[in-house]
Amino acid sequence: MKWWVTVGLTLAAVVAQSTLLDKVIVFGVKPDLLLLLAVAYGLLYGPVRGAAVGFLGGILQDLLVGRLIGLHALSKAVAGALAGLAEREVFKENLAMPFLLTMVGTVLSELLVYGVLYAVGRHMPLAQAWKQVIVPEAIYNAVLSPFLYRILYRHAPSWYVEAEALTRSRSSLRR
Amino acid sequence: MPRIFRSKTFYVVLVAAVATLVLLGATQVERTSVTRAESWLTDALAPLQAVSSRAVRAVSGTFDAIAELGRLRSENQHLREVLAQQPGLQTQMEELQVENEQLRRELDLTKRSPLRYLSADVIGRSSDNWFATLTINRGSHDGITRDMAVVTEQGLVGRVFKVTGRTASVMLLTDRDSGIGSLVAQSRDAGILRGQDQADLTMRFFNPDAQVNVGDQVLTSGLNSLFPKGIPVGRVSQVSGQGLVKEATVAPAVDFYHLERVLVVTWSPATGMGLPALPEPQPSQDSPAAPANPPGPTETGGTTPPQGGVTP
Repeated sequence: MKWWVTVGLTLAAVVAQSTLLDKVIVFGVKPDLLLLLAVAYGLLYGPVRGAAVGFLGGILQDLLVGRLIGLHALSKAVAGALAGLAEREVFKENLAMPFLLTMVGTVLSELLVYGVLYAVGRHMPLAQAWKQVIVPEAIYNAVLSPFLYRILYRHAPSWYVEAEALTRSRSSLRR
Repeated sequence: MPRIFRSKTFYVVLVAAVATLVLLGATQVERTSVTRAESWLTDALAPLQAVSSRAVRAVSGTFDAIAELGRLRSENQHLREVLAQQPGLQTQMEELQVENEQLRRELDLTKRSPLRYLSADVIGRSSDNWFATLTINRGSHDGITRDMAVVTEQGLVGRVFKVTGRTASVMLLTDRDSGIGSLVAQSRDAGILRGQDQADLTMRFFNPDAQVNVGDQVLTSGLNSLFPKGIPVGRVSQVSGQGLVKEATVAPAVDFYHLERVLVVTWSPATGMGLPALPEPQPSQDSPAAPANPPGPTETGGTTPPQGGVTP
């Protein structure tokens, strides 16, 4: 996917995150579009691009919120990179992959956010954070992830998807 | 040398990680000013946020209207029946209205609370589930400065914590970093009210023997000099005491989920906020109480405090 499309998508997600998503709050949480994007990019294009998209979305979000700059950049970059590590090990066509990786990515990313917030003196009890934010958001993100992933997968360059399929078939033959 | 150290990506990741940690460390305390990057990005995205917010509001308003149609129809029928049974209701209401106007004049509410407000539209919300903030379409160009109180007709919303040229970010009362001096209207017992990242707030009293009951109104105390005294904050919904500490759970007066328009207090005699830029208000004797919908985006002077307030 061209870089300017990625930047445009990220900017649109940043705006939607602070406006549109406020109307789709379920169980007290809103989904994290930027995290979904980072995980989807990681799974499609590998850890470097996953981390880059996560970092870009996160830093824009941080600058817009104006509280702890770097908090979301760090957590989303980690989520994107971790999803990217699974890139070569899983079948990208399988929609269960974005579901699972987004759930795990959200939990790890939000635990990182919790840890940083705790370290700077924002002491929310872990049980409250877990019950009120981390678990509901992980489920919500995971449920939405196959939809976003499917769109991005369809719009991934055909040469990329074909090359990926070829690499996988070669590696399975070697085994 | 291991292969990873020869990779360009490794160094890019390393620099990014270190830079992020440095940024995190530098911004962990509340700052008095914003960086150019923050200011530029926030101002650049503000028009997009405003358009998106308006579109979302229009769509959700339509759905809400459709959902309410059935309820309104049955309510209308019920009210017609009630009205038919009480022919004198209209006259009675008119009398009460006249009496109400007279009482308002007698009280001269405008004299008692010479605050000045600037109305603003909410164009954005906190984009994560950890902070409770909102963004308004007024900034330093409109005279907004950090720490100004933000209210609605119902009561206190929060305070301004970040200002750019065309926008300002407001920390809501429910945010965990929010703490305000407050008192119980009935007993005058004071304490600190804090957000808990939940719908309700927690008030911790200075006096362990504080006289507080469920249903009591909580107001700003004006002690921390950020908020003018007497703005309604909420009502006590639960009282608890542990040894030397007495606490109360307070249900906020403002519905934070449905905020579309707010008022920024640009001047108050107690805080002197915005004093150099704004002339002292000249309240008129016959001014009515604060209008339900503030008159446009211009500055409003000499209106009453949010309704339900008890001026100490």
